[in-house]
Amino acid sequence: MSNFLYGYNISYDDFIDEVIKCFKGTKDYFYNKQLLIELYETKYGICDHVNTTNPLASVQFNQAEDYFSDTLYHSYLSNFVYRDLGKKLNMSFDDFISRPRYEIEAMLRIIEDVDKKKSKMNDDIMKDLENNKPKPFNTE
Amino acid sequence: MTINEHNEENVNANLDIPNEDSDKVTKNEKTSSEEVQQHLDTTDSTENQTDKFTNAIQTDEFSSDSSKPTDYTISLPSINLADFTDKLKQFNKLDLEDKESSLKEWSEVNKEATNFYTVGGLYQDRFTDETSKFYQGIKNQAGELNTISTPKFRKTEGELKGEAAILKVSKMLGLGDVINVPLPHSGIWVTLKPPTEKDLIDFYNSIFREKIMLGRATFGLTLTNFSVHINNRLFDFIIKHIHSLNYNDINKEELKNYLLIHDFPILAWGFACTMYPNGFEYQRSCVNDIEKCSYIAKAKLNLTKLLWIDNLSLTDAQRLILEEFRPNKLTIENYRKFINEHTRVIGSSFTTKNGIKFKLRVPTFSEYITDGLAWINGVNSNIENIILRESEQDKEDDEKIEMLNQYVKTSILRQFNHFIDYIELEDNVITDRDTINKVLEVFSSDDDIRTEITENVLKFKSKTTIGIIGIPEYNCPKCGKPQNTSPVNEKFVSVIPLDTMNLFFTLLTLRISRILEREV
Repeated sequence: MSNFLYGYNISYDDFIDEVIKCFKGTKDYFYNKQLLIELYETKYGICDHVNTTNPLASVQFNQAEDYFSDTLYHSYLSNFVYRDLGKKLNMSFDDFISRPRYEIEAMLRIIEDVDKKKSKMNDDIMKDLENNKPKPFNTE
Repeated sequence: MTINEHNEENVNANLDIPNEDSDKVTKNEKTSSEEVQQHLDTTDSTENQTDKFTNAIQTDEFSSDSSKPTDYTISLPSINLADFTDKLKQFNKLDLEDKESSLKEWSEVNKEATNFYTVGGLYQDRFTDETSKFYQGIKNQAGELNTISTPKFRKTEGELKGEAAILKVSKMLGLGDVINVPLPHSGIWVTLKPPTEKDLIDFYNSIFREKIMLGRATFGLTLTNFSVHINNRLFDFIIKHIHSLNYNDINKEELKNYLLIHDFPILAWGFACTMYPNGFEYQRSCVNDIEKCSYIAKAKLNLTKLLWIDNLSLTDAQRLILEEFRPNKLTIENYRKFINEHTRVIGSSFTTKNGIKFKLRVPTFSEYITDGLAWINGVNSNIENIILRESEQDKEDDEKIEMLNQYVKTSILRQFNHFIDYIELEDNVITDRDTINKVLEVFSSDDDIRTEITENVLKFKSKTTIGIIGIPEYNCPKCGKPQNTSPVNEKFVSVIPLDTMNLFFTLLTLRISRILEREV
């Protein structure tokens, strides 16, 4: 999951102190702005501009700011596809996530229980078949 | 209180204790628990009276034994913040971080639990106020408690139309749970529908997007005050899930003009109740005497039992108004009567040592948002002016630092501006919002006045709150010891106020993500 809470452990006073300590402005407005952005990204754990060797760091898309690809929607979609929920529940993905949370939780739990039971049944049957396999006929 | 302030508090309030004998800890190397202690000592001390008196009467069990293993268990506090701080002093010498230690789990549970304390134990003093009596609802004329509940659909004949028909059908099919939530400060009942998961995802994504944009636009300088934005978004989101109000002439889009700010956490809690009608798993650790018992009790929490309402602060007329929770039954005159009847949720004033009089008010949600957003906009322009503009570049570094320092202090008072109704200076009165804000900035630079105003506003906030979300203290199921130091009988309990907003967002994201992460 990407972390919506990035930077939440930073206190306002500490951050201002850091800005005061590190910010050496010039008369160039745009330079100053870029400096502040880098200070913000470094301090908030978005991108470490102090230690990065990436020359394109100033324009890169940062993982911490990716609110889509590793969030709830993504997890639901993965679950829906991997667990084959569409087939098992006879519903589309849109139908699935358009239910209240407690229903989705119940569906996920039941599917998991059923899958476990099915898996155990399969294992048991395989074991039975293995144990009851006709012994090779002794020709001697 | 802001979510960010809260987090700052709780980042400090961790339970890490160095893995070494206490003898080895030098004077300069404070243990984390000492730091916590020091930090907590500086917070509001009003909760120190907790072992003298309790005024909360528990009639409903709020949890049941948990037999099934759980997907995600949330850790909640076992005792109030002041008592917990005292306990930490006693536990100072114990090695809680030793991997082999059975106390490690205890430590982790408590670490997480501290996230749900209100900042500085705000509202704790309300549960020791002898002029209050807290019940888990509002006592009606028949002596029964009205509280959050599922509306009962009357058996009516004939045509059923619109949303009422949909709700009834949904309920019959078990497809959704609508609930009535009392908002005791504003005299309003709202009927809420549960959000769909798609709505929740959209909501989560929208505040995440806003955070990214705001962070970049203001170089992170407003993110510590981001709670105003989040609360505004959350309010709009909840509005979409309001089925009805008990007032005929207040429509839900106008609710923010009528809802007093103290009711917002209750509204958020009510909304969380629609999401978790079957409760959720939680755990609390025994803190009575950690050397004898470190048992972690696990149970299922019924969220709907956590609302505590001070019934002594409601008049008979107010209770009568609150008895009517059916949709569209009351008028704006009833609302005005309810507000005018308040004996506790009313403005008050204080005068600073140098004779400046502040009149405080309980603002509406709308007033809170207007002042909060104005403050954030102010932060942006001020920081730009101080740091970026060419005109400021000739200033000496020391001068800039002083300006920034002053601005930081200024912002501390501005976050309370929505509670200030007007200011009296000798024979003059300041009522204009912009002027109040500017005056606050001037006062902010004086450390004494700033502290005086902050303390008075926090006291006012607590004193005027009559509905609190909190969890009762309990006796450890293993050692049987009460978690607090005061005697508790079956009915009178001490309640620990919870940070509702943090609880809401934790439930929103963490719980479901644990379930989703299991298999795939």
